[in-house]
Amino acid sequence: MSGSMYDLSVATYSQEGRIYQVEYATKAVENSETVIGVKCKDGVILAGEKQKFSRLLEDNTNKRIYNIDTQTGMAICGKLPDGRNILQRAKAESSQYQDMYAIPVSANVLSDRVAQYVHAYTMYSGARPFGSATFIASYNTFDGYELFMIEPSGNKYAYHACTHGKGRAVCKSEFERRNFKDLTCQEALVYIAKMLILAHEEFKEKKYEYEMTWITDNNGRKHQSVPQDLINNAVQQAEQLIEQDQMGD
Amino acid sequence: MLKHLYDTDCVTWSPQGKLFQVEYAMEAVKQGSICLGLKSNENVVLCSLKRQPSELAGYQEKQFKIDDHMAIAIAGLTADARVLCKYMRTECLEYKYTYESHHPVGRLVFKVAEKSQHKTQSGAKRPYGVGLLVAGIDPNGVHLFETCPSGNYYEYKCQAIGSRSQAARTYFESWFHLFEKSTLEQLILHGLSAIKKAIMEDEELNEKNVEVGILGKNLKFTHLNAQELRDYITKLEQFSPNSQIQQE
Repeated sequence: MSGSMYDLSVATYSQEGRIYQVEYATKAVENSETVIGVKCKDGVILAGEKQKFSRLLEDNTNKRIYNIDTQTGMAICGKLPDGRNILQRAKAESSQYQDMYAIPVSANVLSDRVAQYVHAYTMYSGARPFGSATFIASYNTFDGYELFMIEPSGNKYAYHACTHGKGRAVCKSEFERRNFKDLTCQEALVYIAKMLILAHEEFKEKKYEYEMTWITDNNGRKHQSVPQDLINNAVQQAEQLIEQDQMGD
Repeated sequence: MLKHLYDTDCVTWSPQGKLFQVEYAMEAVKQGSICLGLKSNENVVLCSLKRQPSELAGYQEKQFKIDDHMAIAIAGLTADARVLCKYMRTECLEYKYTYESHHPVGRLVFKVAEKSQHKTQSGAKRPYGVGLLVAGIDPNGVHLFETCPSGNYYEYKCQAIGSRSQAARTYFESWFHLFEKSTLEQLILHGLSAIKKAIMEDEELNEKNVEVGILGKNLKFTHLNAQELRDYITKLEQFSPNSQIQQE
């Protein structure tokens, strides 16, 4: 698929009114590792898979989910360096808001600002769109639990559950099947692990690490990593569930 | 596919979602001579192979001290490396002045990665053409990071970058399980063995073309001097990883 000569600059519309450079940037996200965000009965979970492309890599490092402040987290899907640029901007916005208004920024306002920043890079030929989608999860007393996803185009929506990356089709169908609003975060971990494992079905032989963070009623409503033993249990149970499903077929 | 349309600057995505200029910058790293790093619970060792532009010239240094607790080994465009080295040294000094302690290694690598990423997102700039191996020790432990022109960084148990580094990485994959408990001497010998795998058939390791830097929890970053290098290269003849297994 080539846009002929209308796809060389982000400042060029094609004849159908598409901006191909933004679509190509989104392709970079679609070809990368899956990231999931889910709102449950008592909290929000962000999760991502990481392929250990070398045995020499250190375990549990090379993170893709970060804190913006104690009650807000950001997960990066796509090109991590671009995502970290967006992260730094989000941290600055959040910090500046707190300085000015003396309350933590709500996810709605923060993702709006981040989306505007991401969008700005799609308007000038001297720059390029970011090759990453970012997920913002947060809790605050006025709005409760919130989850947003910002795409390379600058589009942002609030979600009950959202996903991007190679395994997004698998995850989306699981979201429709299972009502996460009825599950607690602890119960949901298994299904999240299941989605991440199914997302890389074709690459089963490679080693993967799973990174999960949550904000729940049970952990003081702070954005923290899910304890490693809970992740390991969830992954084990998920593998059993997948086996059962396959035997049932 | 008409690659040449999409690969002239950093601000053009290819239809497959790739940035060719960034990938070409990574090739520059592969052209540099090999450097590698490996760590145990207590020490980090950096080994590099130095190149000589001509017979009458000196050898290009590949390892630079950033602070007492941190050092880098470079592969790629040396001039770009100098820019990053200066930045890292300044950051470490400022941190020491403000907080009276050593700059945490991971955070400095994050800053370098951020700096590298900015150079990949402007039409008027080009990515840094150098990969760094950052060795450092802080209260979080012993670290070895690799940074890339793309702005990615990874923490490793051991890693080799530069020309013919695959041979060294293969050596590491076979033996890295021994490194955690190795003594400093064993670590240096492993590093030199790995470099030996990566040199050409007619080349030999000697104290002029090899550079070894060591860092430890109680050991500030130092280079091995010529005599020490000669001794280790001699010991290399008798060294085999199997003998280390028998000792344990």
